[in-house]
Order: sequence, then C-alpha cells, then structure tokens
Amino acid sequence: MNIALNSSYDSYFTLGYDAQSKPLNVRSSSLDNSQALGKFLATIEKRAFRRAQIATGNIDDALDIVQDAMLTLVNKYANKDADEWALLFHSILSSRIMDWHRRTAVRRRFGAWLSFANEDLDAPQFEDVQSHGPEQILQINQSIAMLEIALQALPIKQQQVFLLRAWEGLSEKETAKAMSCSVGAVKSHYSRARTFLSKELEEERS
Amino acid sequence: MNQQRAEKQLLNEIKQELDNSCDRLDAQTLSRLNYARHQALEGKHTAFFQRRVFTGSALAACLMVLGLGFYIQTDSQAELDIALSELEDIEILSADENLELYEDIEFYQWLSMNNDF
Repeated sequence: MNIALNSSYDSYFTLGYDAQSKPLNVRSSSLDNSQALGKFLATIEKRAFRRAQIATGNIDDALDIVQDAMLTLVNKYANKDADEWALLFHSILSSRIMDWHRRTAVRRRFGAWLSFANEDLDAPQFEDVQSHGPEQILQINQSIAMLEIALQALPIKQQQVFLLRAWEGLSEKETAKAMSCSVGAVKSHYSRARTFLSKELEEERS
Repeated sequence: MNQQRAEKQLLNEIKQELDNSCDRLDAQTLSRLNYARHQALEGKHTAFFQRRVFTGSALAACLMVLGLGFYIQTDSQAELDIALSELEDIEILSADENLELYEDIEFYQWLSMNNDF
C-alpha cells in the first residue's frame, strides 16, 4: 500500500525503513521520529560544521562531511532511541573526519603525479590555515581566529578528542566510543591538547 | 591550585569562543547547512563526495584497462595461438562428422582442386 503524504517529511519514510511493508500506525510513528530527527539535526548542525571546518580548514569539505554524517544517521540509526542519536552522530562525524584526513594525506602524498585526478587539491586545506595573514586575522574576530589556528595546529586525534571533551562535554568513555579508541588514549590526547593550547594561547595573549 | 583554576578558566573561554563562532556563521553557510540537512533527510547526497568517488572509480577503471592491455600485450601471442588450436581440436572432436573425414581432409581438398570429384 502506497500512501501519498504531503508533509515535508514524507520522504523520510524511504530512509532506512521498508515503508511498503510497514503498517500505517508504524509508519506514522516513523513520521514523528523523522520530525524529531530533523529537529535534532537542526540543533547540532552548527557545532558539527565547526568541528568539521576546524578539522578540514575548508567550508565545502566540512559541509560535505556533515551532510554525509547526517545521511548515515538518518539511513541507519533513525529508529534508535533519540537519547542515543547524539553519541551516534558524534561517532559518525568523527569517523568521517578521520576518513577525510586519511584521504587527504594519501592525496597529498600522491598529489604530484595524480593531480589531474582531483582539482580540489588547490583548495585550502587544514594546514594552510596556519598561514593566515595578519590582515585576514584582523577581518574576523581575532580571538576566534587565534583559537582556530591553535586548534588546527593540533594533530587531528588530539584536536577532535579535545573538541568532544571540552566543547561537546562528552565523558572520557563516550569520547573513546566516538573516536573508536581506548579511554587511555583519550586521556593522553586530551591532556596533550590542553597543554599545547594553554601554552599557545597564553603566548598569543602575552 | 592556581594552575588548575587558570586551566579551567581557559577551557571555559575556549568553549565560549567556539560557541560564539557558531553564532557568527554567515548567512550563506547557514543556508548551505540547512540545505545539506534537508538533503540528508531526503536521502540525497550531493556535492564533492560523490564527485570524488566517481573520479576515484574512473581512475581505477582506467588503471585496470591499462593493466589488462599491458598484460595482453606482453603475454605472448603464441599462447593465444595454442589456446585457439586447442579450441579447434575440441570443436573437431565434438563434431558429428566422421573422424575419417578429417583424417582424409587433404585428399578431399586435392580432389576439389582438381575438379575430379
């Protein structure tokens, strides 16, 4: 039975659900779930984007990563409890960021002779942001720019662990789950990141 | 103790600045984020990722074709001939015609050439 619905969330039925085989009451609860999922994504999208942007140093790549993470959450985990979405989304986003980082490292390694394969190599990447000129820094809020530069100078795992712990407020255990590493590694990454950032930012201020 | 307090203050400041940076996202980025969310909720994925996947796949396909061409070229023509002759043998053995016909094929060819059939 195929029921046409005019809601803007109609198409959510098709994502990760077998809409054709589900009874109507199950599908209407899926609609509520989809609306809740839409609201959830709207609340976390800015922070997710900033996490990805700090990691990539590139708006387009960051948007792409966030969209991909959202799509994965919608497709695979929409039927999970809403309480689980945040941690699941952080895990997916972290995974996508690490994938991007690995791909970029490989592209850079072979970029010289495979440059024809990807014209995006010319786009500014995460390390390039460290070379912001003084004029550019003055154009945007200076303290945010300095913080961003310091964060981008961190190794990717330290950076992401720091953002998850300090900004997103995840526990060590949750961060370990989101980053697919041990709690010990989280402690180590977080401690190093904190030491580095306090040193860097103190130097900037003095 | 002072160090701990200073560190805590620094972390709070960092958190505050990151929050501020979210509030200061420009309209275009917000619009694109909104669009990305709707696309994700509709099960669509556009933009760079698909293009990269396509580029990677195309590159892999080209390399495979090149590799196959190189393999075929370097692999001796003789092996190909042997394979073809073996195929011919199998075809002869599996044919319905009498094997004697094939044994005397040269004689029949001579007959037909001399129109003495």
